[in-house]
Amino acid sequence: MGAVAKTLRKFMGLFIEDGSLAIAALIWAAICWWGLPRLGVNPQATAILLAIGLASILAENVLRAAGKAK
Amino acid sequence: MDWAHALPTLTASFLASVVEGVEALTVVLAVGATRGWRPALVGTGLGVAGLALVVLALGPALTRIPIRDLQVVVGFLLLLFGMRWLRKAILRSAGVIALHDEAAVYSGKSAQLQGVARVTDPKWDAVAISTAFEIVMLEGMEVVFIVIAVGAAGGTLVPASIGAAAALLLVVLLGASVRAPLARIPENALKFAVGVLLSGFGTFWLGEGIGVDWPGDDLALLVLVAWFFGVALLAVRFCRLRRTVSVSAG
Repeated sequence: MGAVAKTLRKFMGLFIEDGSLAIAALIWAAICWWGLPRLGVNPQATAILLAIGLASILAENVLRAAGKAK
Repeated sequence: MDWAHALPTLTASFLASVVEGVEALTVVLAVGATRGWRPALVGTGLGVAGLALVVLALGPALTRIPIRDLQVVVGFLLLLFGMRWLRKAILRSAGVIALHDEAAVYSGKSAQLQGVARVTDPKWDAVAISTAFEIVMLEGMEVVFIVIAVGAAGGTLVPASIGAAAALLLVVLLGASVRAPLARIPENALKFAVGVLLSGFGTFWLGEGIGVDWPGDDLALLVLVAWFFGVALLAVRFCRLRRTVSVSAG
């Protein structure tokens, strides 16, 4: 059980280092998938919003990390 | 072949494989120098065999998944993977966290391995074999994931595999000739580039999977890579500034 948990943790570690970054990206992807089309946003605009949103999430995350650095 | 996809795929898998290969080489060299080359090579061989098994199991399974579902899952995982590397590379470039130091990793690992009692039969030095095996599996899994992910979602498995194979061959040849950690390889610059490329790939495939309509179609991939590169460069500048303000205030 310990070995399985360790392997899973290592596998998750490939993708997630800061949980807040992963969760924010997941929420934004979900909004672009389900939310924006229901609000009548066209697929080209959704594409642009997806790219802008994801890059903004990354930028906010690193700026927050830089602000906390000692 | 669609070069708008094949070239970034080859570049991403080549650069990522160089980074992972150098990290694995450092530990394998430490094992070889401190515990002997036979267990280092046995552990490495077992790791490569383990990775081959993973590829053989995963490859055929991926072809059975509908392309849209594959693009959503693989695209999102690539995005997370790319943003994790890019985040670290930005923070290192801005001086927020320390740069990765292969020479320090080599010294630390060597000291750790020298501290473990030697076995009577050096051919089956379990500590040495498992250390080499673990690092090859760990770093190799990242290479396997990148090759399969960037290759499978866009049907460019061949250029992705060529890029990875060329990189690993280069690292092995350099390692064999230098016999020392490849500390001069600009690890953070490579990580920065791979992070940018994989973030672009991930966003593109995720978008394809969820049904967005990329302006410019496949060329949008190159625009996305340029977009993440620009945002990352700006982020480095602002992080430096923010860090300076934070340090002088604290």
